[in-house]
Amino acid sequence: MAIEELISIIGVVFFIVPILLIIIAGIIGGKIMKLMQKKLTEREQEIIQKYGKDTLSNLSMTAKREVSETGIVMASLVVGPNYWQQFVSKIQSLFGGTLNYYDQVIALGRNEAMQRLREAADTAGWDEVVNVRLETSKLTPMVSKESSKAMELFAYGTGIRYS
Amino acid sequence: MNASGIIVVNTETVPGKTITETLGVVTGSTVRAKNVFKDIGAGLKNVVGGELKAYTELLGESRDEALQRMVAEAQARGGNAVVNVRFATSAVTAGAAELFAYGTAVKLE
Repeated sequence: MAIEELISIIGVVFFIVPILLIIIAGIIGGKIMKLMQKKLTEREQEIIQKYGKDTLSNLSMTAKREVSETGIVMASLVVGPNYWQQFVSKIQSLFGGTLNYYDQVIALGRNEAMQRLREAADTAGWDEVVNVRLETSKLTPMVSKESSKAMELFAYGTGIRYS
Repeated sequence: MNASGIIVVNTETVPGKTITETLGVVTGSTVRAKNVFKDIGAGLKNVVGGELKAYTELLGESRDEALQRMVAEAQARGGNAVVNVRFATSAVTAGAAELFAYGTAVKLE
């Protein structure tokens, strides 16, 4: 009798926990993303105010000015959609079309990586970053058996200091 | 410019300098894994989404190391700059990532 009860309790727990996690993710995850977006916009404004323009460009050389020093700058981050976003996207992918949540997560992550590149260039003292390249790659953690939803967004470029 | 005094850029030329000699492609790579506890921590963070800092750190450190190895090779060949640097990332096996950097070692005047 006791064993049967135990099994049924375990069964209920295994059924409820994933649903609970999805609901929690839906509530907290949305707020985390909004907070990230808000902070990002503020930081972007700071850099634009300091330099008067966007310091990144993906041209091989911009202004024809005397260059005194050059060097590489890199920035990256790893982001993943939360359980709620994964759940909704899984259902959406049955019907096809745009996966809105993946769109949002990747766009936010890429903007954050670019902002980190601007900040890295700012700390290193570069006036401008040229030849910026953006890359995306997937990660596979050891604990999850299915392919992971985490992705790395990586930005790099050449920092230039004008004399 | 880094500690070793070698200029590393991802443009085809070093702005303001002239390349006198190319010394071939130099590469640097590293395969790294985070320990399983940090993997579990990142898995938990993935529930609510957002940035997975443990992985960001891991990949950042590894990429620096790959770059350092590339620079060391360029130095061994007698170059004083590496131009047109590219990066590649691949997930070789579960829990590990390969970070790869390559470029052309050159001599500047």
